[in-house]
Amino acid sequence: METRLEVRLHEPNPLFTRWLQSWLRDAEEHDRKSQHKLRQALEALRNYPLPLYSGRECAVLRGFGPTLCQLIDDELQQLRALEKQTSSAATTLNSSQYEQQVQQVVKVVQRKRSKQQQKPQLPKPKKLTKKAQQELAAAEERERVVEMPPGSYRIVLLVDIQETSGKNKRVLDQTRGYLQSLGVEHEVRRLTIGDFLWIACDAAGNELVLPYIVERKRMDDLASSIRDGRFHEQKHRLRQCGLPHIIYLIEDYGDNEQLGLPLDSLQQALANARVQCAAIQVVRTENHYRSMCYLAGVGGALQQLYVAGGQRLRSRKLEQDAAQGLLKFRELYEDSARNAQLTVREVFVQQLLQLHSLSLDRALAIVEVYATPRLLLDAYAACGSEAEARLLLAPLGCGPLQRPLGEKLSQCVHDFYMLEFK
Amino acid sequence: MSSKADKLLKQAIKEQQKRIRPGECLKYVRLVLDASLLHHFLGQELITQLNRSDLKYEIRSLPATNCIVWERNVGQQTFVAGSADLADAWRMEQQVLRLFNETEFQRSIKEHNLGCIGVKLHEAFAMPNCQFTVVVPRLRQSKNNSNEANALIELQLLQQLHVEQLPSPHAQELLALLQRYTKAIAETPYKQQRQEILGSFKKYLANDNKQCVRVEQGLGYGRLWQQHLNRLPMVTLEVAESIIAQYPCPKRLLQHFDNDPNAIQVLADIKIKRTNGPEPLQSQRRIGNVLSSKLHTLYNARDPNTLI
Repeated sequence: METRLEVRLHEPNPLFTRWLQSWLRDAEEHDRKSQHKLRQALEALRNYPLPLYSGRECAVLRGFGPTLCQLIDDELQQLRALEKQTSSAATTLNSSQYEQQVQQVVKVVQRKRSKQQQKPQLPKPKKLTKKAQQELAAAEERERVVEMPPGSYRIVLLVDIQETSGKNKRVLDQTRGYLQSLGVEHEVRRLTIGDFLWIACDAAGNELVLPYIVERKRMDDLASSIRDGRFHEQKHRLRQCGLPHIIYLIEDYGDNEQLGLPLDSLQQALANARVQCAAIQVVRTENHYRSMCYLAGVGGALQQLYVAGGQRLRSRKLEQDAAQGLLKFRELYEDSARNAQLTVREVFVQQLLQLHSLSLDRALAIVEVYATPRLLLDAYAACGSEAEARLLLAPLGCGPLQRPLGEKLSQCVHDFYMLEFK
Repeated sequence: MSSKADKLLKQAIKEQQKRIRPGECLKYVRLVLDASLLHHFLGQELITQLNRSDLKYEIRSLPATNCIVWERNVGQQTFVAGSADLADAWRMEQQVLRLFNETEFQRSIKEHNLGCIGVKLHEAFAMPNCQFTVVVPRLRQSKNNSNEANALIELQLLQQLHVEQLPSPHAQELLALLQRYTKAIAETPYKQQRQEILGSFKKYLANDNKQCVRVEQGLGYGRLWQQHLNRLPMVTLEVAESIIAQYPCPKRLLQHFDNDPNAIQVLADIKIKRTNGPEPLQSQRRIGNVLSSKLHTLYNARDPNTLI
């Protein structure tokens, strides 16, 4: 009987990972700009399950620009040259080694199975708990590559349920009514990011998201979201979601008077978004109906581009570059949920920001050196005296001008963590 | 020796920072209009308006007709050809506007030339990452306009061009547009600097200091501790207060984690006080294992990329 084995490397790219780690450490020490991209690249590499054999291959991952790939290839070249000189056994990665290792695993499994067959049948091993089973299934689903050959899929517009029924059901009916009258095939769903998306669905139920996301804002919504800061947070989330084309669909509100902010400010905010972020397009419409007409038009253009154009679709993981394929709806949905998992670093920065006059620049300067609360506490413990510990953070350089954090803030942070208070 | 180099470097950075600061940065950016715009239907009026405004501009022959670009004075100087003088170096920004009048645009649609617009612009301005914007007078919304509307959508989706529709009065609106764009372009380096940092975090970090706590002479730490706890997504006011009742300062919680081998369980079992309404469900009355583990991770992890 045949069994399917899934072989996953524990650490598929140890060499590149270590190089990136040391470059990142170096960049962090010297506070170079490259550290941010390096961190991104390192995270993407850690999440990628397959072995990569050259810098060039790394280009598929997020954060790996041409310079970084070249750096890796240069290092590889040096390593190979060195090995040639010393003519030691090749320790470089190569695909035949991978094959060998896979064969070894297969042999081990075969041996185990033949042993099992010789022994009397032991009682069945304990079944995985339901939760574990579900988690395993979900993980497998995430890894599975989905392919949609031309003609096997259709394009559907997804409408966020909150976009339509947020204020009241009348709005939902209006949106659906307009779309229906325009003959747009659509589906109302809860979206964790954006108001409108397009997906390609095939008969098997796979759903791949086309690389466009629409955020619809009426001018009065735009004004209120700018005033309470939501606009920038939302813009950030849109940029992070992994879809390369963001469309702000801005709808007039009557004659755009009495919006809560001067019209000029709103237009400047839109111009800023458009100019300062290449991924953002701004589209202005006169009313709700025209907005739906626009969506119908885009849907038609996508139909031309993908279906009539006979495009073959392929799925990709979030950490891969957008040119590698389309995201699965599930992955986009889960990743963009507002409370998707935070890192310790992010929470630590947010906590530090709670202190008045501790700006983002300063918080980042602290986290640069002491990236988690525990690391800061370790450093305090390593100080010779309390006085020394209180001044530990004072000389840290903050911002592009590297202004020192200062004694007052340093003492404040220390006292907060180290002293007892009620 | 190195301190002199350091000083120069610091000075250069300081100078650069000043130049990109919002407000200041407008002084260092100017428009460049293609000479053909003088004959454009809006051209003369636009020039008049520009002269009345604060915007700095030059008229030159650009690689494509009816275009407007922007240049920034980057603080360097170059030799002027044919003389011993130095002149300011101006670097072109990555934005190009292409003005269309209505007839020209309609003609392009009729002759199915739209596809060429993007290509021609890319060829004329070969700068990498350049963003092109097509400026057309606002289309009269009529039943027959679906052709034009679809044309604009095509430009956006298929050719990655931006589209700006000018309402009337056209010249004034164009001036307002140019003012907005100039401001946005002037501030781009500053915003990009911020984005480099903010963008490497999944969560948007620049929003959070609305309720920051002032600490004066040791007062305010309690409130600060509560807000620290609130940063975790699952921590409500009641949960935070219940934790603070047991551990009024971070030091106590940290000691608990260090000394008690069963720390997470003990923390998880703390009852939440003052839950509203009738007898709450058993599962909600405790802090719970999940939150307790998260707190433990937060204050004990040494790897900053650990997920909470």
